[in-house]
Amino acid sequence: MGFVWQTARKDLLRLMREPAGLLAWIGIPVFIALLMGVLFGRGEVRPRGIVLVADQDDSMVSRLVAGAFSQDRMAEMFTVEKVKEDEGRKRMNEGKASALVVIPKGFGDAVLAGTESRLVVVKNPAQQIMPQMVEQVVKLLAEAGFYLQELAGDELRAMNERQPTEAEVALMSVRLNRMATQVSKWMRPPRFAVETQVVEEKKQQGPPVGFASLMLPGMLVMGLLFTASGLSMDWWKEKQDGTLRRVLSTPNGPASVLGGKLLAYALLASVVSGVGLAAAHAMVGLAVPRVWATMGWAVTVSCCGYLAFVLLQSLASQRRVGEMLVNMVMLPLCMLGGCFFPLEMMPANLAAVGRWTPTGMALAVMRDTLAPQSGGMWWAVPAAAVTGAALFVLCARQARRRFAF
Amino acid sequence: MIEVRDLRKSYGDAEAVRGVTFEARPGEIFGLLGPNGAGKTTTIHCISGLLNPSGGTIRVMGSLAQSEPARAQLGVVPQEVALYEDLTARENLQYWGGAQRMNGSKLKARIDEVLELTGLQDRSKEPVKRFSGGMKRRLNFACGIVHEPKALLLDEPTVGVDPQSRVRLLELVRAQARNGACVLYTTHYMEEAEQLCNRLAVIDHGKLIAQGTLEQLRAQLNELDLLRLEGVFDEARVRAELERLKGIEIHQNDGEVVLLSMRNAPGRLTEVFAAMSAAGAEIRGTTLKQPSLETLFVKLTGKELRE
Repeated sequence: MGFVWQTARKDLLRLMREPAGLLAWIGIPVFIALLMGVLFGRGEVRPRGIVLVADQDDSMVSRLVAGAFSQDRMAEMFTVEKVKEDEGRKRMNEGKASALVVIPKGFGDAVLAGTESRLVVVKNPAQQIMPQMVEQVVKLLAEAGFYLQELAGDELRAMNERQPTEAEVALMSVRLNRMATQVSKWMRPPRFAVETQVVEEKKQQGPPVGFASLMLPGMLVMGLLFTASGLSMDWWKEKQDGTLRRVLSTPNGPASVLGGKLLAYALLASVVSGVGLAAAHAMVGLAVPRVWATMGWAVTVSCCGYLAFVLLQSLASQRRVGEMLVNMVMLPLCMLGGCFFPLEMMPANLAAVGRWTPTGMALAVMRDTLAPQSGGMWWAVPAAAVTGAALFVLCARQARRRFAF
Repeated sequence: MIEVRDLRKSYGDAEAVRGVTFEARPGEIFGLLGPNGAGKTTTIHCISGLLNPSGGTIRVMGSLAQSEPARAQLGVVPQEVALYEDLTARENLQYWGGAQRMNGSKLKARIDEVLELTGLQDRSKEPVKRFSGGMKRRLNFACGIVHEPKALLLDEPTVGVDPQSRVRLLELVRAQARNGACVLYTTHYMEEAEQLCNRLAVIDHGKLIAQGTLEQLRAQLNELDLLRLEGVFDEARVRAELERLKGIEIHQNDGEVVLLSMRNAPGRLTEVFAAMSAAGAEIRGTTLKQPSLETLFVKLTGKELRE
């Protein structure tokens, strides 16, 4: 352990004496995030989510509910997919959608009859914003349905029972228009108030739905990965300077050297993630309910990243190739995995791919730890530990073969 | 003691070291002499446990080369300046001493000792990147001896060093041997080997071609002098003219350099120049060398050492 610590200390000292590299590794993600903020942020976010609708009623009213997510600005935010309830719940369990709306059989009749009925909204705990939006939209629809039933129940019932003629539709439209005009002075304020209330509720429940808070976890992961990529290059420097060969002629093996370098990276990642989270909290009010868990996860997953990059470097024939190889893997993973753009802002098909990338999964867990109520992605910690251990063994084996000469 | 028996190292079909056998004893400096690519560094890497030999055995102070006890007793001063340039001299020594399991006050005292020994005590708190080439070489050496190794491998430690630093480094090497360390010293500088080594082995193309004390090796030379001519030559005509002269051996004749060995070369210069003139040669430079290791090397390998 003594030599591992000495190696870590030595690497940290070297890093402190030449901080320009470190500043660049951290500065690039910050710059990208700021650039994205300027270009796309403007204080308003239009994330994109998938809403699954299990319509067991298949009535006009239920179709209205399902159609609500395909209208105007909702269509820009949500992709609606009709599913069976079992399939929908399965996909929700797999974290593949923002929310599932189950419309039970008889829902339409109940609405028209003014009797009690219930819509079920299943939310994805791994996402913070989109499920809440779905819930709020459904609540709004329930309120609107109540008003509609009170004001035009007879007409709607008539339309539901048989196919209305054109004359009847025109007549009903006129009656609905008159009613709307009469009640508009009471209807509009509550509708407006509801929308405002939704925004306030979001502010109370969790972090602010701003571009910065969406970008921050990705920015942090990206900063840590850039740092890992930069430090993985140090193996080439040690090879070229002959220091690695020299240390391998002492009683210490490559595993000790790797352990020391990994420890140095882990300590650095702890500081970077701690400072990053503190800055995010202070500057944009990012709520960090589980600081240590979030930092622990950030460090664990970025250590896996460091080991993966070292392994990639060891596959290269020379420094430039190694650098290129790491960038070829890291940058697409950052883009697809939601570090450059949050997954919620991506087209649905790209977001679906991004969720399965290592960065996408790492970010999902990080957001889970940042969420007010953790969604129980505890499995990610042992999974990362096993992955890290396997990478460590592979890297240690490669280190002597590829970096000593 | 460093014992190397029938050492072989191959990379695919290419044999870098072919059955090398020698032993370096405690208190002596054993020189391994050869041109670049002869197999010196590969031999050193096998001894230091960095490379697995393809065949043969190596023992360092009685332990197999790859083993931890062997590595703990071994000090390595590599050909390159293997130091961390952002760290100070003291920090480098702390790290390399720590890598050899030294710590605490013992390490601190030893660091002060080697800093003084190498004349770097006044600059010990400066980053190595501010050091001159000679100072870096001295620190490179200091890092190899900080743990007081019983066997020391020095792989061309004076390459690119100014004369003053070279003298100082060679004295440091002698001091290690005087203190009982077994020193294996590789170089392609003949003068260095002649000044420094108690015993020598000449290696070329991965094979030892001669071994013994300096006196034993010189005896093989039979008092031959080496005459080197530089200019523009017609190879065939030069060979034809020189072959008429008795007791002259041609080692090199490539149109630009002619390398000859002979007894009493100063007395035969007129004769040689006449032959060269007859061959239409345009001589631009002449170097005459008295019997030395270099003469031996040319005799054994047919080429100059600094190739």
